[in-house]
Amino acid sequence: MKKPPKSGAVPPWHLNYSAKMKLSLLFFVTLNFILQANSSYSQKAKISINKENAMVRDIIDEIEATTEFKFLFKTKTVDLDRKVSIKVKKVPIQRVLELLFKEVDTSYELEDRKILLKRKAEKNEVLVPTIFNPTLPQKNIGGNVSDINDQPLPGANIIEKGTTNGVTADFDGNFSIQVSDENAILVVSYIGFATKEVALNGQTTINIALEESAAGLDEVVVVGYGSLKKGDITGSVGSLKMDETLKSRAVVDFGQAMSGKVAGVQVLNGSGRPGTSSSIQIRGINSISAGSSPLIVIDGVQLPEYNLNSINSSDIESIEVLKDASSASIYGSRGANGVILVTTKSGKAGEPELQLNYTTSIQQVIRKINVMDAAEYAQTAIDGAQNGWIDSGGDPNAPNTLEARGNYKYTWPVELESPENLANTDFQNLIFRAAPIHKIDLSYSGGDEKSNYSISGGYINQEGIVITSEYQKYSLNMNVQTRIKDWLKVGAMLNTVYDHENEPYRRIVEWAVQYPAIYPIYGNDGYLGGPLTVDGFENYSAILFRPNNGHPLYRINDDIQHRRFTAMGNFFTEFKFNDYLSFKTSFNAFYKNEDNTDYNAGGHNLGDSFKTTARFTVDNNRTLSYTWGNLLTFDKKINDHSVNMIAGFEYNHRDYYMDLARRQGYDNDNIHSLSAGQDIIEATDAATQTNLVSVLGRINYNYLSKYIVAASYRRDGSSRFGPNTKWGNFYSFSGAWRVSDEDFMKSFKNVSSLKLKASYGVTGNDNFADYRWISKLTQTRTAIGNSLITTYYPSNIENPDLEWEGTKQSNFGLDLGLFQSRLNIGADFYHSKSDNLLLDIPIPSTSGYTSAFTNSGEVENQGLEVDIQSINISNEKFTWSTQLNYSMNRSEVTQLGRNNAPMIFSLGTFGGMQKINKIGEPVFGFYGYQYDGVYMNQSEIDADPSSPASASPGDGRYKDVNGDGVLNSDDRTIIGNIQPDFTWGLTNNFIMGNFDLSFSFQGVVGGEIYDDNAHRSLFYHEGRNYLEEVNGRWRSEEDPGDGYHFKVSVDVDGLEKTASSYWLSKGTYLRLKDVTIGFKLPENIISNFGVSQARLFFNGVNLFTISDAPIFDPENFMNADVTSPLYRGVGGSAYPSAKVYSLGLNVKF
Amino acid sequence: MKYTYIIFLTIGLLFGSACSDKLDLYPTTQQTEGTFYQNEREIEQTVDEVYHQLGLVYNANGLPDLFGELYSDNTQILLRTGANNFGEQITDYFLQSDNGLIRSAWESCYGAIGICNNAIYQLENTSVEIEQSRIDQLKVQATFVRALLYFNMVRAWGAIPYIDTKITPEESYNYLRVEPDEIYQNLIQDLNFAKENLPESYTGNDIGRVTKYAASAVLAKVYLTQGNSSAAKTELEIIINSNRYSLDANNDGAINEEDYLFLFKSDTKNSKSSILEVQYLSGVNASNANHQVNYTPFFFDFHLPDQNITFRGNGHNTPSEDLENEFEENDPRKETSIYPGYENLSTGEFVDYPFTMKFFDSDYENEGQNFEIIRYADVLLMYAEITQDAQYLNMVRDRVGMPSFGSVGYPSDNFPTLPLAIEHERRIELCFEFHRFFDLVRTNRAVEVMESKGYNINESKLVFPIPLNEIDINPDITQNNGYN
Repeated sequence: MKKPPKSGAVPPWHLNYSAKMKLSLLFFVTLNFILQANSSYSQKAKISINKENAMVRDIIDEIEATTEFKFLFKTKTVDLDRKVSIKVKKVPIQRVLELLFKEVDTSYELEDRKILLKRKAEKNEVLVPTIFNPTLPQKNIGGNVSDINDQPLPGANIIEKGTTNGVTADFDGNFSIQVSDENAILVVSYIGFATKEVALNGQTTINIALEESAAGLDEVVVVGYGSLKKGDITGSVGSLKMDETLKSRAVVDFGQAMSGKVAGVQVLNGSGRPGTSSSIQIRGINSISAGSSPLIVIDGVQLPEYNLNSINSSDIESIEVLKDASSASIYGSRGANGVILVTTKSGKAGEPELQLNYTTSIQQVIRKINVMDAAEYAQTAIDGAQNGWIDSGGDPNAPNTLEARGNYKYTWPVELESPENLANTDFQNLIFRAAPIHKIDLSYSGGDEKSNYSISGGYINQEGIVITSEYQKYSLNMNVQTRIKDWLKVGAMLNTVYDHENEPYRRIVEWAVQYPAIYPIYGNDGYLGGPLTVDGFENYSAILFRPNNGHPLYRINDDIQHRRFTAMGNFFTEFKFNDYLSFKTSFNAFYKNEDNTDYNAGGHNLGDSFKTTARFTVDNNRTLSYTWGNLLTFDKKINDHSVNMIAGFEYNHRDYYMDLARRQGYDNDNIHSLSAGQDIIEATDAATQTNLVSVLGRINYNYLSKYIVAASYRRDGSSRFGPNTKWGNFYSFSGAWRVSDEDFMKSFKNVSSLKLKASYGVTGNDNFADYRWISKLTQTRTAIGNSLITTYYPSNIENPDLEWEGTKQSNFGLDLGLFQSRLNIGADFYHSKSDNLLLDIPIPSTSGYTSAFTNSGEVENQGLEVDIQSINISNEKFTWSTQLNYSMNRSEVTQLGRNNAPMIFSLGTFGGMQKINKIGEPVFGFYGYQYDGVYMNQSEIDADPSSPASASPGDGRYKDVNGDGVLNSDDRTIIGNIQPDFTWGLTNNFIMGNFDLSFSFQGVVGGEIYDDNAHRSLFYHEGRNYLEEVNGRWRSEEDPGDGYHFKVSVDVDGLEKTASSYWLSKGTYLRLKDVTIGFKLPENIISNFGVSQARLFFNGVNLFTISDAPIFDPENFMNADVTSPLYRGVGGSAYPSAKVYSLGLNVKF
Repeated sequence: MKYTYIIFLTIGLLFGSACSDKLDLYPTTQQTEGTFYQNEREIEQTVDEVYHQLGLVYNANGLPDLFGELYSDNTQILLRTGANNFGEQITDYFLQSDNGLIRSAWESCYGAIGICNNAIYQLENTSVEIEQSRIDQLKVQATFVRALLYFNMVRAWGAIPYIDTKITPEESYNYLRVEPDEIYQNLIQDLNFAKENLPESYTGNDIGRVTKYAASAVLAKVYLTQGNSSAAKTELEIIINSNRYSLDANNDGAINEEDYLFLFKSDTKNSKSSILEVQYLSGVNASNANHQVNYTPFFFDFHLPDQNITFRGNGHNTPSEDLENEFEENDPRKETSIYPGYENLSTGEFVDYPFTMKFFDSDYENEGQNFEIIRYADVLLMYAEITQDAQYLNMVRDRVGMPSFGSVGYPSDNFPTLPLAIEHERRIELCFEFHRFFDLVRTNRAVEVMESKGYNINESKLVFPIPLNEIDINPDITQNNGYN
């Protein structure tokens, strides 16, 4: 036994017995410990000490003071006055003790929080050799871990084989480790790279290069009811990791994070209102009357409703999108629109981690709509009155008086003739503001080989960019799993979100755009500025826009609030019978409660005569959904054959209830409650229940991961369907061939991987209201004389044969990796046919009904998706990688109801625009007259046989599409396509030293959009303000304008108010969606604060957009229900989405 | 291994047995056809819905309004803006076959007919024990409403599909347009059946239901429309000779101007002058009408007389200047029919914007004034038309103190003949009560009169287009000439 040296011979990087005694001691101690429930304190407590020339006594005191450890020893056995220098950071207690007593004959025993110090001679045998054996020689090894391109791999794990002795590489990939034997073997691993074992063979410095595992083929991808290695996937699955860039986006709903990132996935947003959910369209629209939103599954919880806001996006680890039918068909009747699988964060085995993210953002409206200023509006208003007067046969030179012209609309206030005296208000400035967001997330996770846990909390406080708009969201996520016995594993997840929104009145933005600039914000008597409060305009209250509802502040006293609580969770128990067979039973539940109140104020800052009946509405609704699922999994590899099979059954119950109460008649606007109202005007409720019973199974087989086949089957029974058709069958087949594993491919050195895949599957759509097959009775109130009776009538036709709508989809794909996987290309082509559509077909109204909900009709979709990822430059100093995605989809209606009668939709919310579904055409095309420029003069009208009798020079002309010389309803045609030619996204990432930079462009090419409000500002419409482009209108033959915008007239009784292509805009846009610049603080600075990683970042969202459409945002503009395909491409009144600048900090302890 | 399967199978069996009956779920907050029609009360509630439907059809923007008023020279759209020009297409005679108002009118008529047919079907096929006389009494009300609806439809569209049984959507494709004669034949049969089975009057809460005399009144109008004067005369005499009805609407024993004004008071229900009246009731959660708001100016500072709360009407039917000019001087009916305008509350300035007070209801948000389909003055004027006896015309004029036809004060220059005088009187007395254009067509005067006032009219425009949508759905449905 070697005698420990007295001093000097210790490695300098741990202990330093300085010869020089300093008079002043400078020391700084940070202790950071974290207590954990399911592992011993000593394993988890982390200690940092930084002391020079301190006495052992002091260090012991320090440890006792700052941790729960207690030292037990006889004073004689330990030399407490010995001077040591010790500098460690976040190490276990063993390490500290090891260093502290390394050179002396003091040993220690550790028993939970008690540390027993002894003389080594007394009890040598208690020492644990793997932790510390002072008798063995310690060799210090230094080295570096990098990838094959010499790019350092910070955080790589280096473990001495056969021991628990391990270290982690620093930011530059450097590490040093003490090994017991000069011939030890180091095991080096890093995520995404093949693990490597290196024998030291006596070397003391060693550089290790890891190879990337081919295209991440071993990476595990979550699929329905399980997970698969990426390389074994046969269908089309889009995968998105919530990486640092995405985490930097100040997004509240996770759909926004997906925007532009996954081919074939289009993120649509109805509103930039805080707290709303984006809508996602996967591949094409398969359904006409049923919903087209994908199924969302969060950690196995199938959401009963489509809402991406039910979870804090910071809690998400990854998102998988099951795009093709073969991947989605395991979800059977709910899979036709694709499935989005969200995996929340869970703890990883290893050191516990505490993460804190804080982001502060400023939001701004992306752009303002260019409308006319006061002078331009004044001239347009005069032109409108004069043109109307002339067209009605009036004498152009008649004086501008009511006496002469007979109707106020043919006259104008003389004040318009001196526009310099008008207010020239920018009402958009009045309602938009720069608004902050504060977002903080705290998470804490860890685990060991048996258990893991993760707990996180989040808080968002967001002001909206529109005045009065406020939003707060609180979230809590917990996830634990533990293997109690080798054969028994249990786990649970709970995710809760509470949010609260103050919603501004829904038309405030629309009104701010449309309120004429000629009016001041406030007019006479301090009332809202408008025709009745500005001298001279009193008689124009219906002509030069409205005095009341139209002014952006008209409903500023309203009070609309939403409070939502969402909780989802699961609990599972998994029995492992042997290495290849396990059974899992799980209970998943989702609960949501919404509490909405809406106070419609009676006072409007317009005086008593404009008071309206104040109303208060409360509606509460709750949704409960739970699923009991049972799954048997068989996973076995026999020689070169791998088989993975699942079989299971599931029972899902959904329960929805809402009630609504409304009162009206409030004495003042102070109390916003039901009780304060005088008259009860409504008290209603509605309840629905749905049951879904399923049996499912899937088999995946592969030979050497080279030939892969898979099949799945699911049988669903649903309460939603008619008694004759409760059950449906859904199945899929798929296969893949890893061509690159074949011998003949060996000569193609540049091809690192090549996989071909094909699939076919059948999925269903049950996305429509409950009880649709049943003929229900509507209750009404009928008067006879002075008495009221209750009467009933059937409101729909019974259809006992109502059943699933099915989508059959084929997918052909290719995954190609080139140049050592530096260039990866994935391409998928698909074709789908949805038949037996759940179609609300129009039927002759002579039946007493206008439509019947039946299964008929067929829609086909085909498309191409390409994903390209490349690492352009990758070296020590600089990395540049690029991701590009492209998707295109073509839809066609191939069959409709009886006679294939076209379905024409003309809803109030379209403002007169129409849509059509017609055989041979894309779904939901815009339908109307084809606009054809302006009649520049009378001779053009005379030359046009189909010119309407009322046409005069300057009017718009429309195409006589069928060429019969008459312009009438038969000339309506498809004037626009809601479906773009293609969509694309391009992301570039750069890493340079501690800096990272990424920016993403995305865009849409082709397609038309319609904005309900913009179209009203294209011609005279109650005197709304006009779009600036209307300055290019025809004014006279001498001043004919741009040839596109027809003249303005107060009499709009031609086709101006009938749907035409004049109302449509181009959907094409290009946008800089995201810019992120990050900076990782140097480790030597942050380590002093006990921080292991800290990143500061700047992020900008929607910074730059090019688009022709006269709307706030071509990406997020839709109104009404964005999840309904009917409203696709139709916008109006939307709360615009914002341009967001964020500064943030991620800190890991 | 064995226990694996045992567990699995056990759970599977439990699961299967627990779930097999879970798939039959029914609405819990709404009645369904499968559980209704189970007793006499429920059957009655099904039949009484026809009155509600009649109210919907006779609302402003319903078929009788669109064809009777908006399409006539009585009303116009002076100022109204909005998402579409459907109203302008009608009032200004550039109708397109995809006009949304006409489509809605068509759909609400056939919807109401479907409800009538269902009511009759339930009565005829009920397993509930109800006395046959009660069944007939109920059935006849539905039959009457159906006939009245067809009468309006056949006048507005000409040939139309005729359905008088409960049909399936599939069957509906087989119902094509049938000639007006056949429709008239059927509806006359229905009205006769109604006349025979309906009571002469009601008591208590049933006052307001259709009577035998209502059937006669409609029959009279049908015969008159068909040119069958003698049959019309018979029906009108049934009403007149019953002595149940009189121009003394307020029943105060005196026939005067007050009786005219009484008719248009918001709480006047089923007066002595009323033969057939649509039932509405004002108030929240009642059975509201919409006439006033549609016949009210599209001006934001508008307020009703004696009120100081403004509201903007729909401006759909603004009295035309031509109608205003047709009123004789000092006709007391004028102010109720055409109120000249209102005062701007902020400036005190008078706004010249005429509107009618015939539908006045101070509770304009939940209005509920009954609507007269056929009232006694109409009966008298029809009788005058058939008999060519001016005394019946003069009864109507006397009541409001207007000089008799033929007397010195009568504006004979303008209305020199009795038929013209009757036309004039009908226009004045019954304006905004959905008669004008029907009358002009019935008397073959529509083209001449409308053309003289500058309307772009011709013979083919005497009917509305069949909604294009119906032809799209069922291409076997044909379009009216002039709308192709």
